[in-house]
Amino acid sequence: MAEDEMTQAENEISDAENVNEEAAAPVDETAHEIAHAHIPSDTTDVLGITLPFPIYTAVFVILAVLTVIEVVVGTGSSGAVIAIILAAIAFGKAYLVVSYYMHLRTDNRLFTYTLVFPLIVGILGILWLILVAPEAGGVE
Amino acid sequence: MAQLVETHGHTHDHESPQAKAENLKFAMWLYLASEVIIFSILIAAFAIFRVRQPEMVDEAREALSISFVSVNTFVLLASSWAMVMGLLAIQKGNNESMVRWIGLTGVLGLTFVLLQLVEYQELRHEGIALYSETAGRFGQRFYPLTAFHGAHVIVGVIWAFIVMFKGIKRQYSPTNYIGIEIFGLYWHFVDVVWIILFTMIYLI
Repeated sequence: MAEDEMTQAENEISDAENVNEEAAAPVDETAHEIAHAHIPSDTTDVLGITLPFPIYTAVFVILAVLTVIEVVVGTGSSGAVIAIILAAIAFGKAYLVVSYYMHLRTDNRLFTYTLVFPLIVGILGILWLILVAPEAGGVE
Repeated sequence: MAQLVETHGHTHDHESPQAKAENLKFAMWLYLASEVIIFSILIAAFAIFRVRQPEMVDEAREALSISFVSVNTFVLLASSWAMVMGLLAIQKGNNESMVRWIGLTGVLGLTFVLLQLVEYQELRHEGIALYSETAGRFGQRFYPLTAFHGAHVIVGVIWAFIVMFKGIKRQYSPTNYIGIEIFGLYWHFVDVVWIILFTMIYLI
């Protein structure tokens, strides 16, 4: 009699565990989906050529090359056109980091808006101070 | 967006892991947005000085070593690469590799700070200080901007070693790495700011 009660209690516990596992399953699957979302492969395809390293390494090589180009161009000559070229390269590098390393290319669009809005305000503010407001230190 | 709205009105206990991760990332992006404005103000001060006093900036630049700072820039770019490789490692379940990459991130960040201190020492010997009669006006624009960025790097280095330590204690897994991802957002932002500062201060 006592053994029957024990067996029944064990079965109830076992059933309860099964229920818990079933309830937990969707959460685990969700976590699994997060973990494997947007994970780059070990190779990178560029113009039909497969490179033996992940996209992160390819981006780093591009950033390093662009930095060398910047230094060569920046130390070799000066002027408005050179300044615009250097600024364009710098923003290109920043775009690569933000898009690939900070995952804005694949993440929620709201994150992009969160970054872009203050960036536009900041850039317009700087340009206004330099170009429009001489009393604030801009061009006279 | 849907994930962010989904959890509105619920307690943290009822958040799905995905919604919690999205909310943490959004919070980090909001913080970074405020940083954009703060750095914009400091950059504006330098940019206006560059336009108004080009001869003073050109004179000060003769004391700045472009090659030295270029190496330091490369060090910071490499640290960003190490950071994201660490994230990739934990996503693939390789905790040991993640610890090594994040440790390298911290070491490279520390190297950047130390090299920046060396640069400051060199500039001081050249007479470029925060307060000096000759080049003080340049120093007042240069030091607050670069030192404020340097302070962010120091915070990032400490954070990197905390993440590394937690990694050693196996607190991350392929299904739980949001802590590393959040640190990565901060660290890459610091890198992006330097990309802009390097070009503006030393090249344009």
